[in-house]
Amino acid sequence: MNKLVKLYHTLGSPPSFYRIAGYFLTPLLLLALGLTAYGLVDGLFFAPIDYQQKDAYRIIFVHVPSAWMSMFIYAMMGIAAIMAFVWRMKVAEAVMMASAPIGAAFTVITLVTGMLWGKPMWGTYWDWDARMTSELILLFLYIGVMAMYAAFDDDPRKAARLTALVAIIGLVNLPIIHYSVEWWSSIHQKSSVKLTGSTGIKDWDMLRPLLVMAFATKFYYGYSMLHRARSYLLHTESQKQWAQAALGLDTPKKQNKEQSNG
Amino acid sequence: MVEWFDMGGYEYFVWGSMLCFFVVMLADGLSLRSKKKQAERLVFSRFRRKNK
Repeated sequence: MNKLVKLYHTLGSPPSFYRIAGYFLTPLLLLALGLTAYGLVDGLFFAPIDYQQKDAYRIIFVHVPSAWMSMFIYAMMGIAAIMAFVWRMKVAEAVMMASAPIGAAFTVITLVTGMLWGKPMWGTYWDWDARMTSELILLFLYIGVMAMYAAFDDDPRKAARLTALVAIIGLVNLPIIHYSVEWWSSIHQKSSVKLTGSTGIKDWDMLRPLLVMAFATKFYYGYSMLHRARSYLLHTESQKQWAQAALGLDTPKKQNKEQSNG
Repeated sequence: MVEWFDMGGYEYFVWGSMLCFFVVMLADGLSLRSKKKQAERLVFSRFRRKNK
């Protein structure tokens, strides 16, 4: 069998996913904490002052990585939702439901830090422009996904299927958020980092902490998502033997067998 | 040293943003623990009920 197909089937099995994900938790958390510490110290104290926005621009080091994560996590949730809806994979359901609260957390950070950046730069905390409004809709989508699941949580499989549908429909918001500053006139600035063109941050001393924070938030998402997905699988498979064995609980049959062997 | 934290007069906005980032991340980290404990409690109770 093709190695990729084999990996897909291995990770698609809740016991294997639970076990393999467990190995990644500590390294991901350490990477996230280490890179966050480095990125913030570098960005807050060593990156040069912006000639227009002065020190206020340093909010970028939490605002932009959080904004990227709010969309990236929704994309991940959308992919997991498609897999959950089409193939009814339990692990995909776990990833989808594990992603929602983390995505909502990063969206809240994006909105609040955006408001705190907006006040000194635009003179207002909030404006109903396309970028801010579409980001607020993203928060409502995350809340909607979690609320939909909670409404049917006595039947987790049905809840996950309906939730997946909502998450898939919400994917349409991602290009709207991304291109909102280009499609409509907006007080929000254009993209801070661009691979091509002359706009965006060019100074490496400013770009470095921003990219480090982008990696830190990605690693944190990996940690938090795997942690939550493991809890989700334990919760939904609590009657299965593998879940009980994963917590070191032996069934009487197994205990008897061990005693007779001993 | 004070200059470093002064942020050119924007300290309320810059440090407020950092505080928001850490509070939300901490809340997420704490909810991870509670979700895990909740799931583990359910597995233990199902195990006990099954083996009564």
